[in-house]
Amino acid sequence: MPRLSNDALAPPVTTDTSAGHAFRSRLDRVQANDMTALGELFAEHGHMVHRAALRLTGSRADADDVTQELFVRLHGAVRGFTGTAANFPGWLRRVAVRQALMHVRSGSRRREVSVESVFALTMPADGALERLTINAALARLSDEHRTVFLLKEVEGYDHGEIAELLGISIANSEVRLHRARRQLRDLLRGSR
Amino acid sequence: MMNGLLNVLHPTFDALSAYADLSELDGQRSRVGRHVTRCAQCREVVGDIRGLGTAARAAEADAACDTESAPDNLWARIEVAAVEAAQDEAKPRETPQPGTEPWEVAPSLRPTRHWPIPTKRSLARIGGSVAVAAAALLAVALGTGDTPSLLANAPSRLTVTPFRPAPGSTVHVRFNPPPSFAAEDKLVLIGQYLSDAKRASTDFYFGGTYDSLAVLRRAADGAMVGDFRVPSDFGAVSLVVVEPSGRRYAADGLHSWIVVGGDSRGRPVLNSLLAAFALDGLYGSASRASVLDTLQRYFPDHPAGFATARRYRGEGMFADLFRFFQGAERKYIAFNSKLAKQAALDATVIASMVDFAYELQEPGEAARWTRRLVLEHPDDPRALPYYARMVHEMELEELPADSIRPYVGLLDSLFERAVSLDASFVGNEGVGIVNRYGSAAMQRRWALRSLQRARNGRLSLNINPKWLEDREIRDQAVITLRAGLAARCKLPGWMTRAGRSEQQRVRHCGGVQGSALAALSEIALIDGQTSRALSLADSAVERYRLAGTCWSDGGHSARGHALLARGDTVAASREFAYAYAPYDNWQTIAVYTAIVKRIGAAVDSTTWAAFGAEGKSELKRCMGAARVRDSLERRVR
Repeated sequence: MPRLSNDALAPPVTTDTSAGHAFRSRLDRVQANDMTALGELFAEHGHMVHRAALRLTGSRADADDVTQELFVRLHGAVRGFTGTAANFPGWLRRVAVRQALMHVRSGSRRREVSVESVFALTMPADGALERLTINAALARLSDEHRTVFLLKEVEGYDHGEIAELLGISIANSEVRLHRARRQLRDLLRGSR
Repeated sequence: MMNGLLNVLHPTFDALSAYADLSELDGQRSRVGRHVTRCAQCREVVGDIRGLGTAARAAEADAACDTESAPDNLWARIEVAAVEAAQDEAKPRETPQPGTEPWEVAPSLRPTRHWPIPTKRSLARIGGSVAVAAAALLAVALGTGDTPSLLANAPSRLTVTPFRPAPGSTVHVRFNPPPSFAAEDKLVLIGQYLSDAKRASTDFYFGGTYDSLAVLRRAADGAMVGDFRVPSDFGAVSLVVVEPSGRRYAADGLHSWIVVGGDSRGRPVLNSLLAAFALDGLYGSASRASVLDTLQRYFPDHPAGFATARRYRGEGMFADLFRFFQGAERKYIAFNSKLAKQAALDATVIASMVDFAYELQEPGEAARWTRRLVLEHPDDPRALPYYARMVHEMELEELPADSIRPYVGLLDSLFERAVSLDASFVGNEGVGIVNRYGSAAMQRRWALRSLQRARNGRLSLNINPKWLEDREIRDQAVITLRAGLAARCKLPGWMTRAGRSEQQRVRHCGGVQGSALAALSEIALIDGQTSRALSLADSAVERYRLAGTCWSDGGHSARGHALLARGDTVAASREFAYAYAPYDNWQTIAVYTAIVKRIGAAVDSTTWAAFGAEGKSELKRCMGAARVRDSLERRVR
């Protein structure tokens, strides 16, 4: 087994590389409402933001709204971002999750679900479970349960963070997760 | 007593779920961890739970490869909106006028704390001692230490006066409309009364049947106001505001607004609180926390307010201080020792003790109270599902079948007495237990009775298909399905008028009615009526098509079987390909493979492939059309 050098044990040294400088410069331009810089960020991260929003809202129309709202306000939000280029996607993803949850809570959510979800919901009761996949089963959960499950299992938040995001207690977050898992397991086991 | 029970019984699902999140080391140290290492059944559950997370992350990773997630035109939208927002920011802003908030007029429905009405005695106590007040403040501060709900902190758009209406009284409603309702000069207040403390037939969100209660009209200050009179047996009411066409609605975040009745002096009434508490859709809402809090404060001798609460309160300031430290187990034991010796108890009290015991993960205790519920109140609607759960908990203990069978007789008796049968119960624990431990005669009786007692028919049978071989059950199934088709399409709670779009409701009804027609086709085929079976299958496919439901495999499958019975193998193959080929999951593939094998050499692989491609293409076309319809409906809104 190769020995670690002292360099490997040392903490990483943060240097203002040219890439880092270019990234910071782009954020500065975004802050100044430069549409080209915002467009570059959208090209790089728009897909990820849209996915996160789609997962939590369950509707492409809502995901479009959330993504639009986030990028329209991004020039103000990046003022609070002090990390590096490497931290930016993670930070943006968390902002997207918060924005999507705010959208759901605000009541401005469109009263429709994706066609994909409609299939899951309109499946007849007899034999319906035979075709359930994890996504179809998730579509059958209530918004409250699905949101907590996705935040915990996919987004990787802990219960304290979920409680803060959703404005509920930690215990409530735990209960919602247990119930979501129980329902998912019942749905998927029933489909075997 | 309890420690002994814990060693014998399996951990609950919630405990296993919590264990699944622990690190390996923490898990091994826990009581549940020690149990799981010994118990194969619980290890399987934990494996399933962890597998759910893995599957969700894998699905997400697959979806991340979907390059079509963000639509092409989204950037154009964002660019326009961003430019407009930048221009708006440059404009000078108006200062809002103070004191114009409409919620100042009447008490809001939003606050989560119902403090007791001050009396002379309590006021004297408050003034009596600074030390006592400090202690009380400490207790209150500790008692409200949880992170407050963000929803609960905002003022409610809907306020009512009086806050706790007495039965038969008139309620004044004031609604501060959201911007989406700004152009409306008239709105409709719809509601569902919850006058019975027993389980309300509701689902998540706003479920159940809502009636129009009042028309809200624009007042001079911009608020929408109206009045309605509550009935003489008023307990609680669940409220939603809709615009006159019913397409758009406003509610209390993810829940409806709840108004809980009081007495003539505005004080809380036990039955009204229990009626509101029984609304399952309240779970997780600020209203539920408020109901629990009021139950604990005003009715400390009733377990309902404590059974599912996370916080325990007493009455009065000293009691608050001391009882704050009283945990759930202590509270349960206090109730248990007080209530167990009483000769007769109200069904809701007993049911609350069952809930309390399950909340403490003590199925043995829950079983004791469940037996009492069943013996004292066998006709209570909770008796059958609670008893079924008790037997199911015994199954989880891996008791031998001979130890469980003696309980099935009473389950059967309760089933016999039940006036109406909850479809979810019929489809779940009760039927499962009877199918595992009951005699063939009992299983048959359950299948037949569940069909006979379906009020207004049903659109799905929810019985083991093997019973369709039985002539009497088959005839009853036809009667039940036909009654279901004749009745108005009933939407489940998650698809009520307020909660879903018109397109979704149409698709849902078309889907379930199409499935009922497909089931009738299959029954006709068993009866040897091939032409009739084909006609019904055609109707099923047409019903799906008219509703825009793309998931029409039930109809195609039924048509395939009818055509096969008529000897038209190639046409049948096309129907089976339409039914199964588009859906690439292993269950469907298994069914499809079996059918292909059954048809054998009569249809070659090229033909099968062509039919499969047709089916996939048809599904894609149907989905595209559904997207267009959804999009049009959004634009209309």
